[in-house]
Amino acid sequence: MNGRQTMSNGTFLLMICGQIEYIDTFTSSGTTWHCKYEFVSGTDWKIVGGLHAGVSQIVNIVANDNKVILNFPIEVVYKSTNPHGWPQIVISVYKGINLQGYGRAYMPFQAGLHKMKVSISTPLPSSLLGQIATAFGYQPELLQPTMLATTAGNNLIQMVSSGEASMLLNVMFQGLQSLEYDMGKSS
Amino acid sequence: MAELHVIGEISHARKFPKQSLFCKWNLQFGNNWKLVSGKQEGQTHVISSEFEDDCKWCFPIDIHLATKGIQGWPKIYIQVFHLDWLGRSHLFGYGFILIPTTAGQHTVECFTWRPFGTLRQRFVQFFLGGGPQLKHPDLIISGNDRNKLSTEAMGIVQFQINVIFRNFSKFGVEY
Repeated sequence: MNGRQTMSNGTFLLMICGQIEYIDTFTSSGTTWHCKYEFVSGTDWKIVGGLHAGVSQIVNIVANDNKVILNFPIEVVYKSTNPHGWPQIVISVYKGINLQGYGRAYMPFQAGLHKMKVSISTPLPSSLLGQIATAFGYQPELLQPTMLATTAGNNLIQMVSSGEASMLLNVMFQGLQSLEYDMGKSS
Repeated sequence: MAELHVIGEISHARKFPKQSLFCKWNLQFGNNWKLVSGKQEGQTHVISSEFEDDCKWCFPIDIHLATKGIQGWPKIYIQVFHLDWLGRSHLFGYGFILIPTTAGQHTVECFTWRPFGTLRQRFVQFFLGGGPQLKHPDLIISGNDRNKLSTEAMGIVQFQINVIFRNFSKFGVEY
């Protein structure tokens, strides 16, 4: 095998490490924010190291230019045989205990350092009762935010965009080229 | 067989006259191609934005194809709709893109159009919405009967597409 080291059984590894740097949204001082992340991947994918989900610290807004600074580390190593079902991250942002929005993004496909902007959007109520209740502070939430990544039934939801999360991710592969995959370059 | 992965997202729509947009997409390919896994069509959620023009769907697409030849390279056609406050959807644009033929990450923009009705139809459309639609949306990707259409320009839909090739060079495909 032309000198390349192959993994034993047709698998490759994907190493992701980085951080959610901050969330760009309308913040007012005196509010507290936190965020959750969760990875969603196809059936062939297995986590061999790191956490598949996490909750950030509580960020108190004092004065910081409409940014929620999280500096929240992410580190995960995946094993797979097939790029189908490539891992996606789903982020949920909360202000106090109220939902502020969801974001979804694919993990980078090329090795190296990637700075990513993930758009955050908030679901709107689907019933008249919910629309009336929003006037009293009700905010609908998704039972499973991962549905944004699997796209099952999401044609029924209405959302409004409410900000942007910024992530910094490092990606590395092992054994992908020896399986004859050509990932190309990032543009 | 050579394999092709198309993984990416319908990222956003811009320059459409209204917000509250959703998009239906559909993948078309030639006879040599076979869908191994993934969905061939889908529909995004409805999204609007309060402070900017862009409608950011960030809707994931993940397709795994196998092929015996390079004829009939896959295309995606889209239909953009506007959902009004009464829950009716109005056609806001047709368009198609080609899957890029090099591996790597690509930003592809789709300029969309919609059929341009007669004066009477446009008058009704201005007040009530609706408007002429294609009976067979497959016509979006065929150039055959386009000369019978009259159209107007709508917005731009942007895709982020990652193309992954497997075994293409083994079968002598040059790219």
